[in-house]
Amino acid sequence: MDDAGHFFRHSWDEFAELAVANFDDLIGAAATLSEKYEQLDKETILEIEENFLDHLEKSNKRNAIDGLQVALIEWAAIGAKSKECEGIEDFLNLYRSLPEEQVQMRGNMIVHVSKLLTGVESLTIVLSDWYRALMDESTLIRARAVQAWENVPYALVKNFPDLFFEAYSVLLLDQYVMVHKNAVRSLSRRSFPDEKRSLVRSQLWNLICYYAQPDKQDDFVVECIDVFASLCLSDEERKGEIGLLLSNILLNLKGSALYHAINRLRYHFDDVPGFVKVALKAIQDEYTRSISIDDCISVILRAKHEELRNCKAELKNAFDALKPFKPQQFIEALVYVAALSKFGDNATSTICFKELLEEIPKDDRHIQWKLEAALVAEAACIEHSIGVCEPYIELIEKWNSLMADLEKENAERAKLRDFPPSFFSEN
Amino acid sequence: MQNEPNFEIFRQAFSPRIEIAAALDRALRSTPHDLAQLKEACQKLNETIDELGQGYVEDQYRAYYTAMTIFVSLAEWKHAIRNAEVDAQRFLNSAKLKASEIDMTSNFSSNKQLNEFLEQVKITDTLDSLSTIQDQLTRWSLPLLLFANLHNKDIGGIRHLISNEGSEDHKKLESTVAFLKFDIDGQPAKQWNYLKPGTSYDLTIEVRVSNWPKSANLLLLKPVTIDARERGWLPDFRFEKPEGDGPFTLTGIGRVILEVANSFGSRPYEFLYAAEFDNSSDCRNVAVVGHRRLLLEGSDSTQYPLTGFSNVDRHLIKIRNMLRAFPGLHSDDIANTMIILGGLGNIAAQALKAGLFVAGTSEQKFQSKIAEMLRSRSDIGEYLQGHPEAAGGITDLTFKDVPVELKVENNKVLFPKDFQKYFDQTAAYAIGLGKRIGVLSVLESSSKSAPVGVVEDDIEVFIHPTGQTQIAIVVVVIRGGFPKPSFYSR
Repeated sequence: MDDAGHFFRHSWDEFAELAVANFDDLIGAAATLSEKYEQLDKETILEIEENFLDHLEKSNKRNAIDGLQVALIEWAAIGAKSKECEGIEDFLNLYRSLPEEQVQMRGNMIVHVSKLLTGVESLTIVLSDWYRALMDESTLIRARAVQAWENVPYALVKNFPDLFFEAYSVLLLDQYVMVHKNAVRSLSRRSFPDEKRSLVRSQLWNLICYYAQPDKQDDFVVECIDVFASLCLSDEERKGEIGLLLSNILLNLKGSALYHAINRLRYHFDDVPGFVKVALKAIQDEYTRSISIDDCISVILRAKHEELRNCKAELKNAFDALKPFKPQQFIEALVYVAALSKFGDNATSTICFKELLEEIPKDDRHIQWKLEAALVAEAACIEHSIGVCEPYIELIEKWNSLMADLEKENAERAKLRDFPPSFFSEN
Repeated sequence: MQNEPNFEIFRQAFSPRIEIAAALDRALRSTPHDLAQLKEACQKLNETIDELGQGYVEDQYRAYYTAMTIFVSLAEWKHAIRNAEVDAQRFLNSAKLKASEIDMTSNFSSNKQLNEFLEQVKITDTLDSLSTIQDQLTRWSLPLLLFANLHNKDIGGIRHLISNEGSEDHKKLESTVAFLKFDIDGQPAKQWNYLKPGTSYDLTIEVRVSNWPKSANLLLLKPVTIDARERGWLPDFRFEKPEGDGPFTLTGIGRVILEVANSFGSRPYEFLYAAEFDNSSDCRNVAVVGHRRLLLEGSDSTQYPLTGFSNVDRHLIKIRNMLRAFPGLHSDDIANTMIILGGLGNIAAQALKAGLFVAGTSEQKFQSKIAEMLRSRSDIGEYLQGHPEAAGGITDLTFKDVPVELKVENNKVLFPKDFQKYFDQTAAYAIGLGKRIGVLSVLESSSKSAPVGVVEDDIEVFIHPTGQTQIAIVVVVIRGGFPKPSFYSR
């Protein structure tokens, strides 16, 4: 079954002719798999207590059957689409003739309904069954029907009637997790037309409020916020109080959800107030640090100076959290100092880097690091002195002297170029 | 923004920046050496700035450099005057010209210190003001340019490639199909249209097509509807490509027949006309604009009466359509309100027809009579609740959580708009019950000296603002206190 799964997993329109010729076989094979699926759940004659491994094996089998069935039906859908109206009618007739209790097969057929769409004619043919599936009693059918939205050809989106959009938006409030999660995910991949987005606004907000609760938190709240912000908020709203409210929700996240907040929203939330605070929390979070802090650094470096001004304490805390300083954290320390300096706080930048300088060991291996840190500290000190009208000529002399030392050190190092640069900076 | 610091650029930018800061202090003195140093430092800073890309910190450096180049001209002006050079004023003119020529749309031009500096340059006419300008510049601190964005030399090439690739696409035009007219039997289609089931109507459609795709021969207009059984009730339109270059205005006429009536509480039939060319491969996009959605009402009030009085039913259909247009009102609440309005409409009509309520009827008597008559209707019955609590008060009646507030007016003839004093109370009950709609029914049983009671005047919808939201309030006035019609002839 695994081999068959691998073979059928990827389907292309080029295989349409083959799929047309074997349409009945594909659907027949898929239907047979339904039986196998059902047999898995049937009780065995002998009652044997199942252990964890038995459960795992059963689950794997179930996934393998489901995967193969989905793939076979996708091939059949490609064949049906290539035969246009006649093929689509054949596909839907088969779908309609399936018994109600064959939920798995019906779900795997309806999930491909959008792949049958070629134009307005095909849309009028599939809408009726698709709409009924959105309203189906079975949770799985509703979840699959809503999932199908993500593959609707972009040009056809404007031709869907209001009733369809209303039915879809109701599913965002579906009590079953599978349904409303699929609804949000599909919406993130294929959005509603502008004039229909108001239909999902309150539903998405409800989901955000629900999943933002401390005991319900998972990555899904980030998806909801992403879709809500991109579909339902105007530029002014993003930059205003609603944007701030969303940032505050994100600020309460922890672990994986917090990591995903930065990973997913780092480009979309540039203009949202308070988002840099989320990045500053994430950068200190253990989960994020165990994966990568690169996105957090991007957010901090791109943040506007007005935003950074509100994060002075957070920046200082993040810097202090690096103690005891390690060479590999030097870039991160520079990020905080650059951010402090960006909004004009060169005094704190100076203090931070003087603390760092004191902790750098005075041995040969760390000379370059020490010189670079000293240059940054001196530069921050000079800028601070300029800003507050204090004398800085002596500081300039010190800067020049450090520059000379660094050039000398670089010249020394040039003689040892065979070693990778990391040889000196690590450990 | 790169996530890696660029120490090379940091040093290259900061060294001339502090050289400028040091030379600036002495630039106005009599020794020309300091001015030369300032110019040289500016030149070095310029070389580094040329390498920089976009960014806030980068713009701060640009603004600083721009101010310095203008200050150099001002310093030259002072030196020229001191040395009694010919036409020393040209340096001041040069500085002012440079200041006025700064592109104010560029990002760095919004810098506050630069703008203050430029304002001062504009008003400078004597050497006295130079020291003020110099003081301001010496206090100009900059952020550290640790993570510099650099000009990416490859971007130009990539852009060039993209623009070449895109040029083919740009040659393709966007076709527009604009729906200009939708007429049903010669009358423009409205938001809601009532069509009698089983009767055929003429549907006239007019579209304007701009940029007909060259590869297309046909334009198809097809109604899209959810229910497969409704396919074919509205006509498809098929237009062949007209001669000429366009834009074209095309008109088509077809027949509309609603084959099945819909129930009073159900949604109207919805049809959305989609436009599609038979081949639009050489067209970038087909934009469809204009009114192309038809909501057709096919409820048959003769066959399925709501109140038992056809004139009241017709008016209630209008009321329902107004409620449907009120944003945020749940369709279930509208359906439930319509059921209760069916009952109240029936009572209002009966009151007019049979004189149910005498003049001076008490509120208690009115309430018990109304509750009795409403409960006797099969679609209301047990769902009518008497005196449940809501919003800290006691409502008169509720039907499936839609509040029904009952009042009596025995003094003078009043109309729905005159009962606004009760709106807040009704709205409070509605909010308390989690609804955005409430019903206010008033028995107006003052002694009549003239006939009143046209149903169109006695049942009305009001949108009542409360706090940050709005509540729909339907007012039903039930008339009482009528004398016998012969009384009016006396």
